[in-house]
Amino acid sequence: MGYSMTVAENMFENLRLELRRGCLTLAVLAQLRQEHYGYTLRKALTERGLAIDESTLYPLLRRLETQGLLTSEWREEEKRNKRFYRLSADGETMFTQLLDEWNAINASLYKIL
Amino acid sequence: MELLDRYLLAVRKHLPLARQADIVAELRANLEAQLEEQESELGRPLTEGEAIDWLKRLGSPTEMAAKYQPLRYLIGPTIFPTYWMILRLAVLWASVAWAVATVVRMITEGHGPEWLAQALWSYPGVLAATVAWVTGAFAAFEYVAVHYPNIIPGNLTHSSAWSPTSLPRLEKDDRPGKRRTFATAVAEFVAEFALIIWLLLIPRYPVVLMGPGAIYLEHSAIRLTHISVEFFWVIVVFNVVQLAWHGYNLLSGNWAVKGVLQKLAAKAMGVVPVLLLLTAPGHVFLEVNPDEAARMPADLDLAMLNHYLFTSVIVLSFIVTIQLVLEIWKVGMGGYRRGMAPGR
Repeated sequence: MGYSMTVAENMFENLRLELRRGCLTLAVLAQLRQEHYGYTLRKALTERGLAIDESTLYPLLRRLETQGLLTSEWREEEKRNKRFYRLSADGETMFTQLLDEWNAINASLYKIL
Repeated sequence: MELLDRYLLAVRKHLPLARQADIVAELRANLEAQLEEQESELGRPLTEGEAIDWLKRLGSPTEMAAKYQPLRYLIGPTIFPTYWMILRLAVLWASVAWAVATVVRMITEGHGPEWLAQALWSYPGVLAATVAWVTGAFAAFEYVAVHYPNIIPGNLTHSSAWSPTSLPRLEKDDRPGKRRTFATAVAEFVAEFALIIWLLLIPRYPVVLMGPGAIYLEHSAIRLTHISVEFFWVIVVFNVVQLAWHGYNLLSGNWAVKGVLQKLAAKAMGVVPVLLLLTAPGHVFLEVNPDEAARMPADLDLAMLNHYLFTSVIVLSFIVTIQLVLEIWKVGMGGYRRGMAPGR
């Protein structure tokens, strides 16, 4: 019994993470239509019901920037240097395409479920 | 907060060198903002227990750093740091074992430099086999951990059991090296001085080096060649320079940590006497003592003895040169890391 629970829990966790991964990217791109630095972005997402670990969000920002979807700049705010991110031109295009895709999947899922 | 500094230091050690400073600076800004807000909500600083809980929620430093690395499909981010540490240890020990085995075979089987050159070709194969075995074992471990979590306990693949209190302490002095007390530094200086006196007594009173054996050596059928005398004086000069340098450190109040330049100079000077032995004319270190030639044992092969000695000198030269290169590399990397540190 214990064995099947462990496997089931593990499987659920893997599937849940898989389901969230793409959604998080879309949420981050959406939120970065306005400029944010890491911490305020995380807060904004949490306030809207999408909690995300620091160890997931901060590296994700780096990856999206490397892919050219975000731009960033170091700037001082409240006597502390912070790295501010926002959507790049490529990022805006990508976001629009992903949003269309999301809406299409969502509509299909509603019909299926 | 010291605990946060220690956390960031530990994360930094697992990040790619070129991006360390930038990532840690950003992480610091974000975490400090989060900390400030928590403390402002509480109206007081976090207690140590609260700080520990907060850092534990962030995940272990290795997990945090691993998220910044490119995806590794064969071995997951949680066990990758352990894999990397074991791999380096395995490569080191395999290299040492190979080197010892090669030297022992060379001496006991009487092989020459040509054999050694051929033996060197087998070294990449030893390395490849070591890497393959370690990687294979960790890849299998990762596979079982992911697909059969009931076989491998979760705490072996997930570092939920880590504690922020086990984070390494911050370095008070950013210069590398162990700190010494004044008493230790003075004791070392006195010991070095006594060593030089002892060395200087040897030519006139060989008994201080050989004991009663000095009398036997004087009437021995073989004796040391002139290169051994030159080697001896280079050693004396080396020790005198070290003594002068350490004396200057004591006088200038700079005894606590040996400077990087001093460490490098000591390593470099240590190479000179060994390389000097390589220049021995005809690679001869022992020769027949003309006054006692009649006592020469018939079965003593002096040429073979010199050959073995020369082989040992080659191996020794190789070791001291590698040590010097490693020291230069360590100093270079240390300087680069400090140069890239945030806030500089």
